[in-house]
Amino acid sequence: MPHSVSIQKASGWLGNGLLRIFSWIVFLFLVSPLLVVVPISFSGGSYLRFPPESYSLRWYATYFGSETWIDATLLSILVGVVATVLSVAFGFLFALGITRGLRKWSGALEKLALAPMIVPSIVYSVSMYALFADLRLVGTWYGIALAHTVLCLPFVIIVLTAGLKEFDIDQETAAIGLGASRLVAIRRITIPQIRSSLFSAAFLAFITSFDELVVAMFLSGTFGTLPKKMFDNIRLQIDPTIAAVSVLEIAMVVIVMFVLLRMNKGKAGRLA
Amino acid sequence: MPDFRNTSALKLENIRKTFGSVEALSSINLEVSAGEFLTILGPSGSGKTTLLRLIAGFVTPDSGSLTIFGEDMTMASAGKRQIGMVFQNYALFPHLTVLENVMFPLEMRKHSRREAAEKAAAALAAVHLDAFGDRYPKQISGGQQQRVALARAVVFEPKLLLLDEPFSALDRRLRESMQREVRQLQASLNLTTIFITHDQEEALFMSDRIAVIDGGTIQQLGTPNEIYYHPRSITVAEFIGDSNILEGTETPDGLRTRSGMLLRRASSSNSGRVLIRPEAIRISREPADGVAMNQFKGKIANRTFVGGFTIYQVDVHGGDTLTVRCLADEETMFDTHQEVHLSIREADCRPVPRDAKEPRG
Repeated sequence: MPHSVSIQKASGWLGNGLLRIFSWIVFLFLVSPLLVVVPISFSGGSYLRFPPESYSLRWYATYFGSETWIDATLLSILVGVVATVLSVAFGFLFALGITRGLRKWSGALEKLALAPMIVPSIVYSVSMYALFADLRLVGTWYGIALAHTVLCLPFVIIVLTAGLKEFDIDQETAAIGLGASRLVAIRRITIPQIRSSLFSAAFLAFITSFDELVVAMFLSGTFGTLPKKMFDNIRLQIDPTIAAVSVLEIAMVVIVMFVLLRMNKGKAGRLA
Repeated sequence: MPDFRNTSALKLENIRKTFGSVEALSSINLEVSAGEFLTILGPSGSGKTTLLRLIAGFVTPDSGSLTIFGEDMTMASAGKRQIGMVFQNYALFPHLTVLENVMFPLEMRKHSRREAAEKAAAALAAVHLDAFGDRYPKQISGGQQQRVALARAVVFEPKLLLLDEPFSALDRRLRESMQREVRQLQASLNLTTIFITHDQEEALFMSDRIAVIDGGTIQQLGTPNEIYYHPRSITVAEFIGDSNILEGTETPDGLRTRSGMLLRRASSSNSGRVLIRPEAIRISREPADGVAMNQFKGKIANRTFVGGFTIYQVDVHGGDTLTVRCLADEETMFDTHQEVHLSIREADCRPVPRDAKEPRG
């Protein structure tokens, strides 16, 4: 019947329209902090106010001119890189293990590895503090890096296990049959093919560490990582420097993501 | 050329393998001569894949020994065995070019890059892919990928070549030409080859000898002719080719089937079971003449035309239903319900021994 067809068409059109509107609302909700933070970072005034009364680069100048901000940033980068390297190394071995020899227990082990995500960060931080106090690791940058490594592991393991499960294990077997050792087979055959998973895992690990506050507050002594410095800054003297720092951080993340995306695209094009 | 036929290339003695409580292989004994093309034929779940992985060195046996050219390799790692293997899905390395794929085993054997490249190029030329060295595996067809896998498996002059159902993913026409090509390459390299398949036609066509495996044991080992015409058990008879298997009681004149047909045979037997291949039955309008023939009258129950030949189901009067296969001939095709005469040479009524496990019925 033409009548009901037109009703169907109209309702379909209406549904699509609503869906589109809804998607835009969600999108706006997600980016709204950016819409506030970016203008404030270019504020000319001394207070966090939106919209800013005037515009300038003074808070960026403050950031780059301040030794404590730069030290905190460099420390965060160092901690982040070490935590990333360690968590990807351990996580990769773990993921290899549960997709190879330990396949029988892979389900249970994989869930167990997510424990650091589930334990409340305060509980984790307090216990790490107690443990590291005995080990004299409190107040050292590598103490923070070690504690962060544990926090990064779940993300690394989720991503790498998924990548390795998708990988055709027959290729590793074939390489071994053709005369490679297991190690050589993994290095020459497996790793190149799960490269994108490794990059994603490293990226997630670095972000997790770089943005982590609670553990850093407990374990850092007189010095602090970037999130701790930002937190102290808010507590003591609220000024738009943290907005500038946030924008720089966001810019860094966007650039790294863009680079990763390009690298994966180039690889996918060749293998497709 | 020296004759390697008498050299033992591979010897399996009392090989046994269980996974948990499942016995995948029980007491496998098998000897393959140098230069031979041996097929391990079995349905899925028969243990043939386990056997192949065991020969390749990806699985170690619970007991028994495995010898390659006189050297005990039972516990040797896969890489030490010098075996070339073509996987069912080829397992080409997608991030390496075709040439790099073929170079891989040579590099693992510490050949210089230049030497490896030269040998790999020669191996690619042998499978007519010299022009494709720079492509990536995803950029060539399935048949070409198969050739690359083959070149990669033979380039390092392995002692054995293992083929794990390599043709199953190819369409029929391509499969036939690849089968011929593999056989030629194998013969020209005089390479001892062990081929795994569930496809009995492929096995009959390609092999010097066939080992029929089922339930983790080798049911029969023999040439394609022996396996086809003299199956040693009902399992083998039913797995290889189409067959009419008739059971009954032995009488001095021959086998009396349960339905009452009397089948005279060239040689006497007491197995109580006869195998008649569908193509061994002649079908005609008039009774055929000839000595040493079993003659029956029947009615066509069903006709299937499959191009080159025609398959009839014939209800023998006062007897069983037999499957008959004849060369297709448009002029003399029989119709359903038509009365026909069947004749079977006594020599074509072959006794089938009972399986060891089977109770005598």
